[in-house]
Amino acid sequence: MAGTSQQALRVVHLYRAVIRDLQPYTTNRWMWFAEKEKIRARFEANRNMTDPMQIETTLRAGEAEFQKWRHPDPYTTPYLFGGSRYMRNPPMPADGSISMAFDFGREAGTWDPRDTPATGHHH
Amino acid sequence: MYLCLFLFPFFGFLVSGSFGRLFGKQGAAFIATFCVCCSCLCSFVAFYEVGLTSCPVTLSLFPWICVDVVESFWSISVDSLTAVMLVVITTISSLVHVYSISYIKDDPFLARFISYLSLFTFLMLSLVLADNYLQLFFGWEGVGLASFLLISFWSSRLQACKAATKAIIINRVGDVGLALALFCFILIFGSVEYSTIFSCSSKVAFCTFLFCQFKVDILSCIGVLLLIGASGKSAQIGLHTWLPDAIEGPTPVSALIHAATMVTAGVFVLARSSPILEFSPVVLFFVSLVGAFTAFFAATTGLVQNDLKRVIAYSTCSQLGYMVFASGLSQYALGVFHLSNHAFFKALLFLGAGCIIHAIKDEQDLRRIGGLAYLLPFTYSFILVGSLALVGFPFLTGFYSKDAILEFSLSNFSVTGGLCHWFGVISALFTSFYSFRLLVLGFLGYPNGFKSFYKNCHEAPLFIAVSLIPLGLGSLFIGFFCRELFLGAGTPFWANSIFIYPVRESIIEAECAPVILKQIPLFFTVMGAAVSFSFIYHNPIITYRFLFFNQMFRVFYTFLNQRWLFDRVYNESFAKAFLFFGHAISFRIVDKGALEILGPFGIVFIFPGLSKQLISLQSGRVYHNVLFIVYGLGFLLCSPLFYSSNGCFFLISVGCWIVFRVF
Repeated sequence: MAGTSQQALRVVHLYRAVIRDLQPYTTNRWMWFAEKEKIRARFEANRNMTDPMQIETTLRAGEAEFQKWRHPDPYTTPYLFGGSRYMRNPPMPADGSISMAFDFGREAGTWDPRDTPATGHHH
Repeated sequence: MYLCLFLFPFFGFLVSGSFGRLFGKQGAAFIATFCVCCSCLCSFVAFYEVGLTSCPVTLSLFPWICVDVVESFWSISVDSLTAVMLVVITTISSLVHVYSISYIKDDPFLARFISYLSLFTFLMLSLVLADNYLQLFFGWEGVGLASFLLISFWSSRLQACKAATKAIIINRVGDVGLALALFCFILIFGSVEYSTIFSCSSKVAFCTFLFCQFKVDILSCIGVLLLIGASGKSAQIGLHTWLPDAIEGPTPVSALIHAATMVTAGVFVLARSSPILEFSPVVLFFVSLVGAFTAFFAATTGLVQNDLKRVIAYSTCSQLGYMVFASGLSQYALGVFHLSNHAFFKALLFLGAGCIIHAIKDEQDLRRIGGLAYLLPFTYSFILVGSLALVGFPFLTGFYSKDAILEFSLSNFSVTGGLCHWFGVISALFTSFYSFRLLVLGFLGYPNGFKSFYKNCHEAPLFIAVSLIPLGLGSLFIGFFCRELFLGAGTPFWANSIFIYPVRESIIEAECAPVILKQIPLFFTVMGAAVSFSFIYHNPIITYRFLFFNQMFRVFYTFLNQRWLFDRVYNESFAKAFLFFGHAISFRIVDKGALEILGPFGIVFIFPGLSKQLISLQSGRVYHNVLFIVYGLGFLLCSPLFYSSNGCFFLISVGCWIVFRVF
C-alpha cells in the first residue's frame, strides 16, 4: 500500500473505532464476530490502493460514514472515564500530594486588590 | 409506641452519624438497622391498631410556629392512609438497611451511608405523620436533602455530584408549587392543619380569589400548585429528569428513595389532599393527563435503555404515572394500593439488580452481561418474581393493583378515562417488553461479559439474600391479601382519610365491566413479552438490521434513548441561562466584585492604599507646599459655595487634584 504513514494510522484507528462501535449494536458476540468479518472485508477490498489522493478520499468517506452511524449510547467500561465506577472512592496519593485551594473563587478577570503592576496577576 | 416509631430512626441517624468511629462502621450500621427494624415492628402494630381496628391516633407534641391566626404544632397523626405509608416506609427501609450492611461493607464510609438512610427514614416518617401542611413541608424538604446526600454519597464522582444537584434543583422547582399552596392555605383558611382545611374546603368550592392579580378558582389554584409539588417529587413529566440520573447513587439508595418511598410522597400528598381535589374537576383532569402521559413517556423511554438500573428507574417513573392518573380519576385508594404494591416489587427489582452488579464487578450495561440464570439462580428467581409482578402477571401483586387501575379508568365513561386507559394499556405493553428484555439480556441470553466476570461470579451473601426474601413474598402475596381490604366495595378501612365525591365513585361500574374488556391489559402484556422474546432472544439479528441499516428507525431509537431530548432542551433553554447568570453576574460581578470591594476584603486593601496615596502628597517640595497653601486658602474663602447646588466648585477641586497628580 503506497499511502502515507499518517493515512495508514488513520485507517487503523478507523478500523478499531468501527469494530468497537459495532459492539453496542450487536446483542451477541457471535453477531459481532460475523459483522466484524464483513467490516474487515470492506477494508480489505481497498487494501491495494496506491494513489494517496484516492486513499484520502476513501478514508474521508469512511470516516464520514462512521460518524453518521455512530451508536448514540456507546458502551463505557465501568472503571474508565465515564463509567459507573470511575473515581468511586479513589485511593489517596501515595506521596501525600494533595493540594488545597486556599484562594477559592479567584478567577482571571475578577478584581483582586493584591494585583499591582509590580507583583503582576495574583492568581 | 408512636413516639418510638417516629424517633427510632432519628436515634439511629445520631448514633451512626456521630459515633460511627466509636462503634466501628459495622457496629454503627447494626445499631441503626436495629432502630429502623424496631420502628418497622411498631408500624405493624400501628397498622393493626389504626387501620384494622379503626382507631386513628393524634398526638400533639409541642407548638412550633404560632403567628397571629396560624398555629402549627409538631404532632403525630396516624390514620389509615398514614398507617399504610408507615408500613411501606419502615419495611422497605429496614430491608434496605439490612441489604446495605453487606452491599456497602467494603466502603470506608458505611457509617455515614447508614446514617443518611436513617435520616431519610426519619424525615419521610415526619412527612407522613404530619397533621398539618407545614410539618409535611418540613419532611418534604428534608427528604429532598436526604436524597441529595445519598445520591452524592460517592462525592468523588463528578457524575454523582451533578445528579444530586439536578435532583435537588428539580425538586425545588416542585417545592415552589407546594410552598405557594401553603401560602394559599394560610390566606384562604387561616390555618395549615388538615382538619381545618378539609372541613372548610367544601365551603370555598367554586369561589374565586386573586392569585398573582388573576381571578382564579380557589381550590383549582391550590390543586394545581399541589400537582406541581407532587410532580417534582414523583417525577411526573416535565420534572422527571432527575430520576434516571439518580441511579448514580448506590443501589440501596435507588431501592429506598427512588422506587419505594420518596417518589411516592407526591402520590401521598394527592391522596391526602383528596378533600380539596375532589371539588375541582379541572385539576383532576390535569392530574389524570399528566399521570397518563408520564406513564406512556417513561415506558417508551425504558424500551431502549441499556443501563440495568436506568431501565428500572424509567419503570418506576411509568408506574408513578399510573398512581397519579388513578388519583386523577378519584381512585385515591387504588393509587395508594398500587403505591404499596409497587414499593415491594420495585425494591425487589432494584436490590436484585444490585446483586447482579455486585456479582459481576459493577458492570451495569445490559449488553455486557448475560447468561446469568445458571450462575445466579437465587437472584434470577427473585428478579423473575419482581418482573412478573411488575408486568401484572395474573394473581401476583401487581396484577391486583395495575389491572384494577386500568379497569377503573375504563369504567370512568369519560374522555379522560378512555385516554388514561389506552395510555395505560400501551404502557403495559411496553412495560412487559422492557421487563422481559431485561430478563433475556441479563439472564437467559448469550453471555456477553468478560470471562473474568463469569469465573468470579458468586451469589449474594447472607444479608443481601435475607433482605430479598420478604420482598419476594410481598411481591407474590400482598396484592391478593390486601385487595379486598383496600379496594373492596364498602370497605371501612379508609374511613375519613380519603374523600371521594359520591358522583365520582365508580367501583360498581368497574366490577360489572365486560370481562373481555378486562382482559385487554393481559393481552397486551403477553404480546409485549412475546415480541421481546422474539426480537431479543430468538432473532436478535432483526433488531440489529433495523438499527444499523434503517435511518428512520435509528432516529426513533436515538430519540427514545436520549429520553425524548428533555435534558437537551432543558440545558439549552434554562440551564445555560441560569448558569450564566449564576456565574457571570451573581458570582463575578456581585459576589466577587461589588461585595468584595465593599466588604471587609476590599476595605482591608483599599484603605491602606488610600493612605499611601495621601502620604505621597507630602513630597517635601516647596512648590507643592505652596500649592496646598493656596488651595487651602481658596477652599476657606469659597466654602460658602459648597452650600449651593452649584457643582462647579467641586469640579474645579477635582481638576486641581488631577493637575497636581499629573505634574
